[in-house]
Amino acid sequence: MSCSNETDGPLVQLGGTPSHSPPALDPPSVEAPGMSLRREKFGSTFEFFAPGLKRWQTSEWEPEKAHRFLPISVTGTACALQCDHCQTKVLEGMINASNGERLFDVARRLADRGTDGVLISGGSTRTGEVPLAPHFEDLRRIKNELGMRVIVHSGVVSPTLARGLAHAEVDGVMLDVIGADETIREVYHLDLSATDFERSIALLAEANLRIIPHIVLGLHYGNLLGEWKALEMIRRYPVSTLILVVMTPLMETPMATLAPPPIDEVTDFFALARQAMPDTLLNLGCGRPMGGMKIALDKAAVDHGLNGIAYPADGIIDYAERSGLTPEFYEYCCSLTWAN
Amino acid sequence: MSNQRRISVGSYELEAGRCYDRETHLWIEQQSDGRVRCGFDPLGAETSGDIVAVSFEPLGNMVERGGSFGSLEAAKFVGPLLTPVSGTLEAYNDDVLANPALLNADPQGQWMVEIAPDALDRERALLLCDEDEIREWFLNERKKLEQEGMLAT
Repeated sequence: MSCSNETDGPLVQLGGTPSHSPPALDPPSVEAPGMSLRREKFGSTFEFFAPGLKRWQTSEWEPEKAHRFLPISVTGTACALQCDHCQTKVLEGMINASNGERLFDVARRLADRGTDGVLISGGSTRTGEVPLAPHFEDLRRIKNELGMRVIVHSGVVSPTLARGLAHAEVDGVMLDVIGADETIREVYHLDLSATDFERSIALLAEANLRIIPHIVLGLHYGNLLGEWKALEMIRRYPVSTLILVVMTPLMETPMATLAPPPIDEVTDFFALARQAMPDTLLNLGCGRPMGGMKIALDKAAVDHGLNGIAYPADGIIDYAERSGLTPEFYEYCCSLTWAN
Repeated sequence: MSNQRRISVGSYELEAGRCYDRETHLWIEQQSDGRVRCGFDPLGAETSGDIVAVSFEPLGNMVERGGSFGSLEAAKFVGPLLTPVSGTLEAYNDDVLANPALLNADPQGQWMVEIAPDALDRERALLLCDEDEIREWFLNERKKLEQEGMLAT
């Protein structure tokens, strides 16, 4: 262990971390086509989201009600998939509803403390579905008796799951859409194909559920592979909001030492997605690498005409304003774009 | 530090001879030269998730208890680091700057900054320094964090 004793100089930092006053970021001199398109279709409002999925604040924004929207896992940290990307790490930060307490009682306890929205998630079964069926009635009660917003992670959707979620009247269904069979097989360890994911979207659409698809850019070990096909599949259906997230290597997983996908490929995809879905809300979701890459991604999201960003990097709110956009702030999940 | 006595709390081992801040989950330990080292307790590190970047205010800066001595970027926490004691920022740990994940791997062994305190006697009373009190607080805190979903059960 060593120790430094310099007494002056700038904030000591590594990896492009936020400092206590936001860095000044300059918008481009020439507006990207995506920005013009979004101004035409959506006006000048840009939405920022900070749900209670983690403790978070920057020098630009400190959310007031950290517990307003919380994630619950119906399987605790159990997952049959053990995919190469997550290996249950994402579940570790969720409230455990697998220890015998009814899901409704867990939600009621949270409601008593001021939570008014929940993401019901969990690990997957061997067929890629989050086991929500035993909780359909609780989901309905959480929404109707507690008045909470209820979003679910479905995983791969069966007709039974779609019908059950419709009966439960959930506010929205989120699922990661994968367009490459290799990724489904090698990363997710599922004996399925991209067609099964499109079928999932179709089943949700048939059930008149609000669909909030996610595309994980770089999910194939840091490379873009099936993302374009996923976009093609998604645009055929009436989705509420498309959420773009970026593969983040997680410690103690097989992808821990991999690099995230190249920034230019990701930002090119932002531009493509904007053009491909000009009338659909596009948000940059909370899953993305931190540090310097996050700043670059967030700037690109503004430049290429996305509609919102979850947990913006320090300086991005100012950047959006200097790009001629009017920021709005929501202490909610970026999938809840219709809820105000 | 490995020779120090430890306080066992369930599966956690806390260093004795330190004071713990209930608000920030940071520990402080006074050195022989009077400076105070400051680091994360195990719950602070665990609930932050994978720590990817840390930054500190310039050395020589005065910091007031509750004010920021730096900032952290981690999977489950992004925000300022708030000092448990007032004083002058005298040093930071280069190892942690170069490899912030050390704070996850060994929160008890890794300090972040050294502060020359200017109100330690008064501010020590605001911290937990008694072993029994530390044990009781840590147990309750762990249970609370588990219920809030911030700690895997």
